[in-house]
Amino acid sequence: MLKNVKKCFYPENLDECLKLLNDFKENGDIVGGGVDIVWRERKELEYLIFLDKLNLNYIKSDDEKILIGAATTLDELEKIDILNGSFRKAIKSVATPILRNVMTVGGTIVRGYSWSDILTIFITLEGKVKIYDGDENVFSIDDFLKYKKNSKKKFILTEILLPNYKNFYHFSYIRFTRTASDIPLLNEGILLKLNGKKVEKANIILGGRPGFPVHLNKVEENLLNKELNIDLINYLKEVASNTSEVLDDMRLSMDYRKNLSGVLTKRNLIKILEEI
Amino acid sequence: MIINFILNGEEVNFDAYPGETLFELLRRYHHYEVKGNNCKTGECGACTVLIDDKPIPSCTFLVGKVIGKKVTTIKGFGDIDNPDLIQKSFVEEGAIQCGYCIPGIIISVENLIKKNPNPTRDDIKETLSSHICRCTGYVQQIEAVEKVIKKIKEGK
Repeated sequence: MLKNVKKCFYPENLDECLKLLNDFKENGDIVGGGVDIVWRERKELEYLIFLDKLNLNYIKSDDEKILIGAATTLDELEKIDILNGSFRKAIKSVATPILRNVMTVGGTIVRGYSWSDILTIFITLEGKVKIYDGDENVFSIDDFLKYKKNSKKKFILTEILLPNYKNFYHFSYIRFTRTASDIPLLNEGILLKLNGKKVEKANIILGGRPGFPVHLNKVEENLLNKELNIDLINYLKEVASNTSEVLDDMRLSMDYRKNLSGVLTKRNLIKILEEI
Repeated sequence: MIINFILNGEEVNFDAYPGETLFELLRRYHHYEVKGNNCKTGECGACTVLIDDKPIPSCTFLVGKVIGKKVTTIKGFGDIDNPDLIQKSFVEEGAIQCGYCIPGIIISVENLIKKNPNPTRDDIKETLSSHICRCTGYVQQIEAVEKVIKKIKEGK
């Protein structure tokens, strides 16, 4: 129970919601799915702001992009059929079915935990977020995390934008964890644009390092304009292990994470190789 | 604050604290069939209820989100005198030992079979992955679900 909460609010538009956030300052917060707010039991929280009347639960798409309302739950994302089903598989690997039924994509991104699977997946896929802070702004997820850290303005994340990936693009995502509902010890997403087997574009993102997700730049450089094959993949496994920027924490040592980053890179690339 | 919603088919008006979860509200109103709250993170799945036909851990669901929704607990499916097909199958297959996790598991399985009347063993395992059972090891539970599916197919 959030013992200090005094009142719930249901704003009917974004301006009303923003005004509540500005009025309440640290004593008020938006409830997405609510999992994180309930778990953290913040003592200062006195006012809960629910987005139920803002109609932010939707998935729309056209030829170029997919628009996802911030209040869309993760289980709804499983319906997005792009990248030969790999996106759906990636989402299905996150947490457990009942938690995916309640966690929202906007809430997960706004919390911005460095180990978040959703952050790694959406950064790999070059997702963007739309926020409202009096004006409407669109940021890449990297820029959004910087904005969140540096800006003192209150904001509402309203929408997530994904490119509507068609042919030539291939994606694979692996999370390494002890149990389904545990936070990942390391996770990695790979997006490749292929012309036959030749790599024209590569996004390789390592998350849960335990810092924020980063590109494996050396692996990306070594993939570009090369033909994807098992020899190259074995070589890139070593490159990933040797160059990944990972750290120690109480859950896993740096050495283990370094080796693991090579293994995840190899497994992801083999999954893509088997798909083409 | 007064919370109005449909509970097991009946409209209810409960007086709720604005910061409490659906689990806490239901237990306060003597709905002890909702088990759990040992994890308070939605990880163990014991307190699962259906909210608008989706299985959701009630310990993570704030009452402010329940207004106007349709909530179904294990009592909405059957009780000890009138168990439904899934509940009967769990008893027959020895899938219940201490019983603590079972209401949540039955609710997830009800939802699985409603959404997908012909689930694979992997679908069943994925559904059960939402729930922690420390007695059975899940084998009997998987068999119980498969038995239900067989019975439904045979029209029993």
